[in-house]
Amino acid sequence: MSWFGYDKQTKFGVTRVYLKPGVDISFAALAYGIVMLVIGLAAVNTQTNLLFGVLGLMAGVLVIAGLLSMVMVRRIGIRRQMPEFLAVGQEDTLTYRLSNSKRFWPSFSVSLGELDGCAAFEHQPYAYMLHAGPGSTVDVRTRILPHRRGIYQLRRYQVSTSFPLGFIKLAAVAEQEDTIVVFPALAKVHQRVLMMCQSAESTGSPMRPQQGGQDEFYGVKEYRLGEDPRWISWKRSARTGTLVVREMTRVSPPRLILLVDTASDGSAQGDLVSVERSIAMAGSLASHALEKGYPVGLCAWNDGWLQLSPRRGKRQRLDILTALARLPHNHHHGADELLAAAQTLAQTGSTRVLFTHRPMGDSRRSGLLILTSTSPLAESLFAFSKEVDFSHCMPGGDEAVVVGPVAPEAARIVRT
Amino acid sequence: MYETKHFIRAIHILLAMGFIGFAIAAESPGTLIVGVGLTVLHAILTRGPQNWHPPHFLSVAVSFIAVALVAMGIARGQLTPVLGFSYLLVTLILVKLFEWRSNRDIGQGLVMSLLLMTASAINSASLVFGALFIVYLLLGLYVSLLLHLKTESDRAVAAFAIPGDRLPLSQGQGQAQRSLRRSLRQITTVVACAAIASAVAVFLFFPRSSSPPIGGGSFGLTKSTPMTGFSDRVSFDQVARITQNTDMVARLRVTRHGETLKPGVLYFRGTTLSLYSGGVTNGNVIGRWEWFHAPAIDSPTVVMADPGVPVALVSAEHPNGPDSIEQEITLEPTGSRVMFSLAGPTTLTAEQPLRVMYEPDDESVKLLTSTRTAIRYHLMCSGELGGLVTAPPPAPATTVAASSPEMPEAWPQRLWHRGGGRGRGGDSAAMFRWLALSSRIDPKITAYARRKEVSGQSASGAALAGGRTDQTAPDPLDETLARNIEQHLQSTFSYTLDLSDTTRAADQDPLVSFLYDNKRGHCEYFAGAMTLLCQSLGMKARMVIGFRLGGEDLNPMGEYYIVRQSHAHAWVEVLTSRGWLTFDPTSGRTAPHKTGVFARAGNLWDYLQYKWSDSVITYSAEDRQNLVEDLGAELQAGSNWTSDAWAKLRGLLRPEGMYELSSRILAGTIAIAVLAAMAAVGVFVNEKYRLRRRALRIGLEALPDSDKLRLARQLEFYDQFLQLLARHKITRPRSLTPREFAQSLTFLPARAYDRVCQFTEVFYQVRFGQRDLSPARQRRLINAIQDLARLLAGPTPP
Repeated sequence: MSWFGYDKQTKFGVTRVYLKPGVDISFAALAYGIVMLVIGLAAVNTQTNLLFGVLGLMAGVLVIAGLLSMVMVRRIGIRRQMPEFLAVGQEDTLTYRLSNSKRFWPSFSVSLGELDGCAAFEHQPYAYMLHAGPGSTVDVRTRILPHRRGIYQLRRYQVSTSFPLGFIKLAAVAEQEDTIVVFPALAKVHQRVLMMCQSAESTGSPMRPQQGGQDEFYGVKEYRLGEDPRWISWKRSARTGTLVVREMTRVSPPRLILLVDTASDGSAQGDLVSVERSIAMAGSLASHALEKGYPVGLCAWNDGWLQLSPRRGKRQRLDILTALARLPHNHHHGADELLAAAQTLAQTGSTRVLFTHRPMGDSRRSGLLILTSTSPLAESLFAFSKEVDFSHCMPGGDEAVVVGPVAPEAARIVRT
Repeated sequence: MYETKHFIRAIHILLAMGFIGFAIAAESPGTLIVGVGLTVLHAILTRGPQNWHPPHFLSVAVSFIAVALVAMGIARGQLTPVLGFSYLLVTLILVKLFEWRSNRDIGQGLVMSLLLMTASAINSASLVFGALFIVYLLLGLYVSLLLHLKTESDRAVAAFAIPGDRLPLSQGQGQAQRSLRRSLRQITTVVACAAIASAVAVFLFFPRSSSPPIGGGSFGLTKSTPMTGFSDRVSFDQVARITQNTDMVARLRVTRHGETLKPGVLYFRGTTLSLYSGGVTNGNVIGRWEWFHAPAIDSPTVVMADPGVPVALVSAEHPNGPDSIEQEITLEPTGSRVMFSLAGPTTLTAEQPLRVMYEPDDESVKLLTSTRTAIRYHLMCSGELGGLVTAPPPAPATTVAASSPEMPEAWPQRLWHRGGGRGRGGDSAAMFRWLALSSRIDPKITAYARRKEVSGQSASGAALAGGRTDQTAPDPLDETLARNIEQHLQSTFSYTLDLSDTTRAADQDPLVSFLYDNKRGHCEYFAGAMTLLCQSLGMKARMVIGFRLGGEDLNPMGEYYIVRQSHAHAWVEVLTSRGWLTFDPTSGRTAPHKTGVFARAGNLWDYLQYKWSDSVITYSAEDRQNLVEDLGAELQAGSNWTSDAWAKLRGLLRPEGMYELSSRILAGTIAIAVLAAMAAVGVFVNEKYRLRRRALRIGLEALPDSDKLRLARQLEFYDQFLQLLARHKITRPRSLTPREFAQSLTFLPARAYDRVCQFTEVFYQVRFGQRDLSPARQRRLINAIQDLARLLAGPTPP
């Protein structure tokens, strides 16, 4: 059995979680025992005193190896440091800070394996610490590649070592609760998409001036204390005898309301893939548009209609991507219901962008842009990383497989 | 991650040590050259980043050829099975070394190397091998730790599924790797200490057995060949040059009442030879000029000596007094059955089962069968030969004409074959004829013995030899005659081991040639000549062969003798009216007494070898039993002491003992108080002394005493700072103020210089600014000095 099963990845994106037994006698110990036996027999048979010494030496090494293995994993404080957000298909690192609080003993060859929340990742997160001197702190990092969106809890992890000689493998389970949000895969969005969104808006000017900007002249007003004196219009003030300031406008882009159609009958694997692709496209556009300063809102079915009003900013990006990360598939609420539900969000200057996997006929209705995830156009507009496999991006750990002697509660927790 | 390059040299050294150990045990210099040479070659080839591997088919071919050759060698009897297997291991280790593609390869190589050393350990009692083996095991432990670490690292890299050089480097990991070696050494030390403790415990307490090994003990790496230097036969046939060697024959410790006996000369008797063949011919065959052991008159005593059980060799107390000398002898296999002893052995204690034959005639001890392993035994002896022991009846010496020597019928035919004369088993008729024999002495020898300058003359000028009347019993004149002959030979003849330039007729007795023509020879000529001279005068005399040890052969470090082949010697015992007396007619044989460093180093090495052999190689079940009993006795004594102490304490706690207890407590308290007061005074005086010394070093000696001591206490950090700099050869000249001194240290690293400035600033604040440093502040300053020490320990720019 592999120590941690990185060399094996199962089909359908199932992540194997290896839980090792608390104490394991290795094959090396068996071989060592056989050599000891041979030397012991030679010693007894030939009565060679040196061989008795060698026999004792080997027995001592065996015993001290077991004791040292216990020492290696004792009094090691471990803190998991992880990014708050990840995106499917985007490689990142998970950092473990190991503090060896022993006064005298160093720790060698300590392995760390996550037990819970591994379904989010391509492999069970695994880190290896070569050495931590007494009283020192070491950061070890591991590469993680999320392949499922969703919110996951990393709680239990297993610390193990086979040092010094690999005869005895000791493992212990510890806990630290952390939550990680895995966003849908984020693609590189073509600039045409935003242009399409602007052109889809037909209720008026695509650029709506608002007070408070710095783009165009709007008018003048009386100066009030605290306003920037650079905006004072001195000519006008001289003429009127009162201090007046210029008031500028802000040109506002259209509001985008992303409508994500997650309805599928679930009978075909292709439907699931297309829905996941729609969600990822929505997330990619939301991220891209918010970075460009567009107000973005969201409407989708999430055991009820989820509606997020269009806003700008990082917080809005976080909210939208988190909502998309948790978005389930549904069987009953299709695109028509979605469009109806989104009416409450529709305002003047808003562009609704519908992400669906089903062809909807005319893709350019008034104020509505329809992007079909299965269309070649969508593929050309959203360039996803090759690491992304939409066939198993759906959230949840139900498909995670636990290999090895796993306690029932461990299996249950893994499946959260 | 840990790489092979970090310990590949250790692996090379380890494997080379394995080859060296095997070469020592198997006495195979070829293995040493090939094994170590190829290991060095591999080390050279792997110096670069690329590892060189031979083609795989070549490795396979070499392995198969080695297997075939070893099988053939074993089948033809050229190799012992263990030796053949060991040669195969050597080959496979080398193949694995050059085939090193994975950790598993080198792991297998290390295991095979351990097996090779194990096979060698069975066969070597050498201290060099022992020391090498211990170092090998400890280094092997270190390498095993490193190899395991590398294996785990490789597995972790494989688990990341990305190349190792793209692994995300972690903060603190570099620092941790820097201290890796120190931690590894620490772990290795701990493991080694525990392992050595375990090894010692198993070595000391594991039960030993005396049963013969399964397979008849055929585990030798070399074919068993006993030593050839010593022989219980003496022959003058065609021996022109004798080459002595210094191979060790035995270790001998001689004590009298527990004190090491340090006489001038010790004669370590082997066997006696009293019959000389005289060179008679049988038809056309030239006869042998050979000495033989006389057959026993008294029945030999055959005893079975069990380990640790004293066995009496003589039934009654020795006539020359009680046992007073104890000999502790470790005898290497000599190829003969002779056991060596000082004169007058009485009690034998062996450390392994021995079947021993004691001959009362000449008081010699022999094994019933020769041994091929070292034996260890204790012999009590009187140190004197038993003069009243029954001796063979003197038979008239047979005088044979040198011109027509013929073999008398009485000589058993088997004596004329090689090896004859040593066996005892013959029919009774042959034995009867044998008993009637005596040495065949050339008339020239008899004539020589009767010369006045040889055997002496009386006050009247008559030859002393003619005054001897009784031919059947020891004569009072015999001792004088023997002494004169001994003196004549010592003064007239010279000692040499090389007789290649001498000539004699084929039928001429070598001893006649020695006495009349050459007048030089080695000890056997001297002893043989004197024996025949004495026998020709009617005295009972015999030649004794054994070892002669001088005071210079005593190793003062362990107070024991090392008996070497070069100590082999022959001398004469003559029966006089005072009993058997020892005479040594050989002249000029005394070896120069070596002194100086090399001699002391040689003694030390001999001593270490002796202790290794005595304490490790020959550690026996009896030693183990003694150790267990001693430990038991110690534990019992400790237990008794505890019980007694507890009983005393309980007695004191009784009402009647309370007064005594109170008195003792009070006395103890007073004693402790007095001691504490004395200690406090001592500490106070010492502290004052230290402060004054410190003040002197800092430069405060001109201040009043109170200020001086106060500042010395406060400025301890500055004193340590100056001492630290002094250790780095930086001293403050008295002409510089502390600030000037600090400013002169700009050559130090920037951080170190900053520290120096800080210390100087604090110094001025305390010295001139009336500032008091709190204890915590002083501790921080001391810690800062330790930081400065670390900074200075690094490379400093010139």
